[in-house]
Amino acid sequence: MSVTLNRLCCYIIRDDFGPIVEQVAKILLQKGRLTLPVIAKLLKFTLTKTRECLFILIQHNLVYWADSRESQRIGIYYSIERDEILARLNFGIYIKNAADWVESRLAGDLVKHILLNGKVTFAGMVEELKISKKSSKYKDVKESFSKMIEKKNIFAVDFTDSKSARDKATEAEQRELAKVTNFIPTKKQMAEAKAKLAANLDMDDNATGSKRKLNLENLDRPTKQHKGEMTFDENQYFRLNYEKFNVKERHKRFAKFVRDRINRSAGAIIKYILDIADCDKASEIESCSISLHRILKNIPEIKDEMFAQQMKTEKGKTVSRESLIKQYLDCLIEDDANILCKKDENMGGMFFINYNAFCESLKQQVFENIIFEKYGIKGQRILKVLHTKQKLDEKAITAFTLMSVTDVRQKLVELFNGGFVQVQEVPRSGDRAPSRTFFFWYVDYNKCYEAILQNYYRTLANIHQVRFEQESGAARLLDKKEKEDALKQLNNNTFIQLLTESETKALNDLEFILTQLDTAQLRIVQDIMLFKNYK
Amino acid sequence: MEVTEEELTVHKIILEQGPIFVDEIKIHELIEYALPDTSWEQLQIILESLHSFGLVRKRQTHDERVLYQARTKEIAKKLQNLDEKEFEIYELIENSERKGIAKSEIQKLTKIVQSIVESSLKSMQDQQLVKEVKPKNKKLYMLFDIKPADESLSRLLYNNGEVDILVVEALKTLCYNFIYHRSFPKDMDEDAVYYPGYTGYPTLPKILQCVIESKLIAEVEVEDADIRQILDVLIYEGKIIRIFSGAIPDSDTMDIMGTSHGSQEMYVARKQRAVGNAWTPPPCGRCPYFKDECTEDGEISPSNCVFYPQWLNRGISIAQETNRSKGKGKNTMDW
Repeated sequence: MSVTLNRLCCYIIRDDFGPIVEQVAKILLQKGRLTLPVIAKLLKFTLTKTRECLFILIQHNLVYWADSRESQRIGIYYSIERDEILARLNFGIYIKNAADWVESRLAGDLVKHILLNGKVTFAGMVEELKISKKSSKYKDVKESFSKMIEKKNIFAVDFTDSKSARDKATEAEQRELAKVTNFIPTKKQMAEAKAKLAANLDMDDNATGSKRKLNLENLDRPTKQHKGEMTFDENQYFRLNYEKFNVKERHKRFAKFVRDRINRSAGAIIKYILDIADCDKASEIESCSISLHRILKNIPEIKDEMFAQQMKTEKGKTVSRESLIKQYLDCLIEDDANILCKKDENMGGMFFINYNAFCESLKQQVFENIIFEKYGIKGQRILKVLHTKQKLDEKAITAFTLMSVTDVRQKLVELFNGGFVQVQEVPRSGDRAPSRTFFFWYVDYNKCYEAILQNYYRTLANIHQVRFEQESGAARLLDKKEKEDALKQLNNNTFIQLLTESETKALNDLEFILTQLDTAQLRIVQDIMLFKNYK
Repeated sequence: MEVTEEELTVHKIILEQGPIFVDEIKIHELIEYALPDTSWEQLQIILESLHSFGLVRKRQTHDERVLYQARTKEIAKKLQNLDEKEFEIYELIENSERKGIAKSEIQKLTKIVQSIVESSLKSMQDQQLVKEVKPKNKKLYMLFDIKPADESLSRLLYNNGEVDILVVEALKTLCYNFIYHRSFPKDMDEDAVYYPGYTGYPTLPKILQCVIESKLIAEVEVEDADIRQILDVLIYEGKIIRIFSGAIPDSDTMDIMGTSHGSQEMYVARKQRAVGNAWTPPPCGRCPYFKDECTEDGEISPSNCVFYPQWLNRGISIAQETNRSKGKGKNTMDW
């Protein structure tokens, strides 16, 4: 697992920051926490070069530092966060959908700028984008920025957030223990200190991986806010809240799933319910309870015609708007994919969405589709039978699936080699002779999901490698194209042509190839988010 | 000697209990209403008499209780014509119930010579008391009106003990089309669905009737259990789902065939838009070397992969085709 992940992480860093920074990242991934001199020595880089690479990685929230007192010296160790690197795969999704999710026209540009720079201040961003303070665009940008802070799409960070979460937790623990005893703490004292720290931690879990309270004094942020006006420090650094965007992507996927499974109306209704629920964290198991009255209020009446056209009601009965939407809600509740649940009948009905169960259903569907594509309808049949009936022997599988014994055996071996089914031996005699042993086949869906996730990472790494190969193969052409564009711009003349017809065709083909690879990559990234439960 | 009215009453009461074996204590309780003041000894005499006429089967449990099961009058009449040896063979076959018993086993247990066994079996087959089934070149005998326990003995779906793939596929297609055309409302938007609680979806009897009327299968009787197996296969393939109208049944309300009293089992087709996946479209998802042989800089690697260029070139040609077809139309010079 880690070899594949390291390889993928290195490709991501190379793609975004170049080969030199990639080498620094690679050494940290392979060796763990290291100091600056050690990194420079291992890579045979100068200290300056290594420091600059580390600075880039820290700026982009990929590397964290920790200081450790060793006798009279304080050593600073750097460690790299794999999850942060993998989160960079989702940036394209965040930028594309930011405008819809934040409900602001300029959100896409803002998110792009923040992601390009890792952490930004509002003042720095305005200066870099060359927005005049007197222009109307400045006001729009400021409003969008405030909206993003208010909706927790971005959050404030400071100097200490680049410190390793594990070290911060260890330091906090040591401070707590120091209050209790000066000697070596007992097991009970350590457990009490940990419990106290856990109780004190704020629930605002942010993407640095550390649970911390926003220390408003240090941020110099005004705490008084007038209603309707969000003020913030323009020199405060902010970074993107990946979790919030992951949750939005999850909801988008849920709505698409319902649209494909039932119909467009059901997909629209579940989208409105998810918007009302407005979950913040991917770790929440279920949404808050939402009343029927609130759902009806939030669904615009313009959709009523579509709803009526897509639901066949009982003969001769005309249904009111409320009954029609209630029928759709009942459809969603009855579906076996755990789309919607009903809590009780108060206020016309209280509904909630169990995110975990819904995610599991979606994962199951994707997984079964993989089995169908790879092993055919027979493989899917066998898998479903094993999932439904638990452990079965070959004969029972043959009886349930109505397949020949040879087909069943062949498919079981293929599924076993793919890591999707396992065998449980039950010997009938003490000598465990194979002829006197029952062999039961079974499937564990959680293990299968892990295997699939591994395959996704590996495929993604392969796609990156193919892309680098294609780009390096066409490096000469790309350079020539760049020169041509530069000349055209300099001379303000669009008729300058350095590339021949065949070279232009080759570049067009390269563009198709890169688009195809990007599309495949994006789809894989969306599936990876699903299998990681959007965390 | 004729069967008395009292004996017929007791026989009727035991027959009403169905195919299960009934305890003599329970029989005594059941006949209290119909035949009051019948003593235990009188009941024993009645049961013995019924056994001698072949109207009941007798079985003794390990704790020395005696159980009885009724036979129908038609079968009892036929049994009257059997001699002692034939009756002994018949009882062996009857006790094997849905498993069936081989001829060699019968000879071994009864110690009757082969020729007599064969002639007895032939005579009982002619009288439609027993039937021969043949899984995997092995002849078994069982009662005529009993369904085999081993699914491989189903005459419709199996052929010489092996699954008849052609029959299975044909039935699957027929059943699925029947269900699909009744799962979504017509004359409405293509995405329309029925309201929750709709009970007009196809049920097992309707599907069975459709299969019979289609005359797809000739010469062999199509049974509930066969169609249910086909529908189960469709469920495993994700093409249909089984729903219940009314309360969801539990094991107490379900009968032997798996149908429930009080709620109706219906089948609904799934829409054909499957949830896609992102792994199998690129070459890695289908490559036989992906798992073990392909490495970053090994002999087989993504850099020298033969499948990626094929996949990418196919993508280029599709994209170019799309561009060319988009080019045709009102905006071009082709009038």
